[in-house]
Amino acid sequence: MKNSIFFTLYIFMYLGLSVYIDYFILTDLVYYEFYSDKFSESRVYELLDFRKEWLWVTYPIKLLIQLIALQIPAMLIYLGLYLAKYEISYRKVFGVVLISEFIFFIPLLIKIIWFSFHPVSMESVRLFAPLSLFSLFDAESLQEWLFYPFKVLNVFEVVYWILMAFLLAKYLKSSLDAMLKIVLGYYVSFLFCWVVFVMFISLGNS
Amino acid sequence: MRMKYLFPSLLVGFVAIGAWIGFSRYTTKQELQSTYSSIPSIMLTSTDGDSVNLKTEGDSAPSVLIYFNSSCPICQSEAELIQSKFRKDTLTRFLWVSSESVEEVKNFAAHYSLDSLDTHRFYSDTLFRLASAFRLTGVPATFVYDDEGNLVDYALGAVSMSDLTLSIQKAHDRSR
Repeated sequence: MKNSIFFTLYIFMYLGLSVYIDYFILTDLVYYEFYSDKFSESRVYELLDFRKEWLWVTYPIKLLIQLIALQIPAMLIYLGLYLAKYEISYRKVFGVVLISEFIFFIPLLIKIIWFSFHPVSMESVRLFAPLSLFSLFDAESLQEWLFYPFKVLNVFEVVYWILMAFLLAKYLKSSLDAMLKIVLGYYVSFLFCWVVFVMFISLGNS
Repeated sequence: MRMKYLFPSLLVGFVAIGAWIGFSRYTTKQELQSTYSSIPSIMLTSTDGDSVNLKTEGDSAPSVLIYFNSSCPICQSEAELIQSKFRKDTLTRFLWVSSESVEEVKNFAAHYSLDSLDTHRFYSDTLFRLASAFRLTGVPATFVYDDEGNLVDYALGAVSMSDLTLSIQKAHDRSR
């Protein structure tokens, strides 16, 4: 399949799931409960009206940010392949990253299914990280600065790395081992530094 | 050979920037905490027109110091919520300070029916003494102190009532 088909499918799935979560999971009632602790009733209604009116604006912005974020692993892996003297176009690397990114729709779907049958609150949604290191701990026993790294380390992330390496190996007719080295050396090392970067900032706020 | 080391160097640099930002935020927060550590000794004007010392006003009981402005929507929300949640709390003192005139402060207190409550005291600070002592640049700012005037907790911006209740509880526990 061509990149453009995956790209269109990705955009539709991303927007579809985001809209579903915003309208059917994070309902006005959830927001009301969250904000009523901080603002008066009239102010909460104003905020909800504002959200209703402007929520649609967030989708193109979120999508744009997501598309920019997709370039990061693509650029890093392309750099790794270039330095290792593999012949591949950026377009193909981006295609591999795009296909692999579909794996992250699974936790979103799990979230939707889970909260369709369980009570929803802003806090429970924030603390929901299926199949992650975070889910193995009681959130109250963890320091706030550990939330992000523990959420990032999840089964889907590891599958993402392996899937990227597998697809690259298939395209380049190379070994999975060699491609895993590229993915681990360039993308995972960057992800690790990014997580440490966020941890330092969270520590500064704590 | 140079290219080989470029990527790891960039990553190390990136982490170092994160560490620097984190450390600066941490030190700024520590500095602010030490600035807010006790109720400042500044002269303000009460709603009766008397000149009072804020430190003395906050003595001998756990206090909540709120820096507000009557036209600020978040301050209005905070006043409404505090009025409904803490109106029966007779053990905590609420010190409301605004940089507006006595008349405006009085109107605000009356609008939220806080003027009739003994535990709520309102002050006008037209010379921005509190703002400069605490280096405040926005409203609302809420500070919780124990009965000895030591800082228990603070929030810049909107404060959640559950957090405020917990902080007040902590202030009472410390005061025992």
